[in-house]
Amino acid sequence: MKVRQIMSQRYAVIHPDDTLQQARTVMLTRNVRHLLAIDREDRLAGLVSDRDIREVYPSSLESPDQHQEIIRVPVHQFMSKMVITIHPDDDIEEAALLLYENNIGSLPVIEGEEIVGIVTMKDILYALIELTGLHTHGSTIKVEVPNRPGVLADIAEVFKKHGMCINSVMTSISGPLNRRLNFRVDTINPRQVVREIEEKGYQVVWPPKEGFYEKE
Amino acid sequence: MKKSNPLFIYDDALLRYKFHQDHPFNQQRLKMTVELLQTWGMLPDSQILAPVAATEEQLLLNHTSEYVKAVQQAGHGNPDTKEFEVFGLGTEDTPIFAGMHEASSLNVGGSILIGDKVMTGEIEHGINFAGGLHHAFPGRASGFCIYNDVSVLIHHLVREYQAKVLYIDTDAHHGDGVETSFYDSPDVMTVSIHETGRYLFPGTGFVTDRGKGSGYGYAVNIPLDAFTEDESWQDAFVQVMERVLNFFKPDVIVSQHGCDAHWFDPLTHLSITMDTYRKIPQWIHEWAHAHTDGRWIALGGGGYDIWRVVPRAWSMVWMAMNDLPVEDREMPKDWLEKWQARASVQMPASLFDREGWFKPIPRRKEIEQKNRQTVAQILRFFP
Repeated sequence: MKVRQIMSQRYAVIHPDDTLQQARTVMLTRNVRHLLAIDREDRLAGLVSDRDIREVYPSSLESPDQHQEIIRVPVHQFMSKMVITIHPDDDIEEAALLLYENNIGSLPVIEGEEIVGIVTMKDILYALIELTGLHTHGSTIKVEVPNRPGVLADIAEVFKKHGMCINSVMTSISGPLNRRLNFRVDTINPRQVVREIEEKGYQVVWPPKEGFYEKE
Repeated sequence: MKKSNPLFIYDDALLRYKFHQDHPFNQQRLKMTVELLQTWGMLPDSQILAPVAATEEQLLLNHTSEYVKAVQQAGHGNPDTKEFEVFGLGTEDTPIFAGMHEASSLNVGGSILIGDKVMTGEIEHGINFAGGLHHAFPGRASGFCIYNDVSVLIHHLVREYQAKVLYIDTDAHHGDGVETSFYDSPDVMTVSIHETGRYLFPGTGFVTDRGKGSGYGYAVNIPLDAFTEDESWQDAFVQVMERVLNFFKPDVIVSQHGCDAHWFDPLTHLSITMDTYRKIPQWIHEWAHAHTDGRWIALGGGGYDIWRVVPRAWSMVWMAMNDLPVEDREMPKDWLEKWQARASVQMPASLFDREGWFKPIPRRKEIEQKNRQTVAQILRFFP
């Protein structure tokens, strides 16, 4: 999946010479947590996060007259200038890694000189939900497999033989030599395919074996 | 005017809804249930009613004309399976069989027939165990269901009688087809209690799925953890239903009695017993008299242990509906002998499940706690 597929094209902007008060208002009215600060040539000059605002904005417990000066501070004084950006054709896992390692909430998406969007933690989270197949129809089958060539094809073969559509597949690491495969398969009755996967020597973790709890 | 006794839809022709010999959806369970009730003297011929096939016009209340045409064509002649795949036909779940349109129309017609008799006041309650095929979508077969008799019936009740319908689905699988049909309608409230869709087919029916548009709040889902047992299941069901009945004022109750949440059922992982299958119809019967002037249409549904579960569970729906005392009793000898000869497992000799048949669930406490949290979350949504 590419950043282009999950990014938001409707990002909120602010000018570096605008005030703290204006930045805060834009954030509240647009209901976003990140503003792109752009210069007169529409180029990215910085980024303002809700964390930046909270750091400089006066406490709501103080009286308003003390605020007058602070809220007129220009954006360029407190915006982040060392902004980490990403390209729309980068993979989303790269975006996820950047957000995670740098402890940040969003990445402006830049193509050449042009700002084309923003990708936030929330977009990544949604992509993760999609990847797990939680939004797709079907029965879940989980298989524990050794990490060696041909395993996935071997199991996919079983679904193919039964004409069953795999709506989603996800792998996770379950040990140094093992992988856990999560399939979402379009059937109400996975019993036969489960038997056949087991006959091939793989351990099916879900659904549990019939008689798992020794049904009488 | 005193209303007639409840009616039970049955005809051998209903057994033609048959995919193939080894398919888990096996309507022999209908015949077994009828014979069981007859042996006990609980089902006189005067209470049996043969179904009439639904008309194409009725099917179109819920289904697209392309789909109905495909079902008709698939069931006649030599079908090219590829062509029907987009309609969910010719899959391992829903294979094509000769006369599938006619057989499915009969299921639907049975549900409508009971619906009409209940709404015109001829009877208070009635059953069509051949119905309850809750997974079918307007343009696609799914999960063993070709036509969705429930959705067609409810559309019919709304259109012909301007009825407000409460649909209660106790099948172990989410009643996705019916929910989808009425997701944006405030005239139809759907309640489905099922094993969580995180793993089990169809993979939907989460707590936060509550309807949309003017139908928001009129869909309720109770997804339970795998291996949920009687007490936790019943607590969840009764707590949510009390709030539902307090919120929605229905004219008629339509209930789906899939009994595949039982311990023995091979397709799901819920662990309830006959204790719950005894109580469900008794509760619904009471609710019908308290809220809908008795109007109650009961339908079948899933149930894939036809030897040990379905006839026992369904006979208790009929007993409750007829105000017959539901007590533990021996299964009739002749009936047991006849079916045991064909069964692949030892059939139970009593109507109720007995102590010691089932082992305790190791994670019971965790499961109960998760279900309590699920119910609390559902109740927070109610006004």
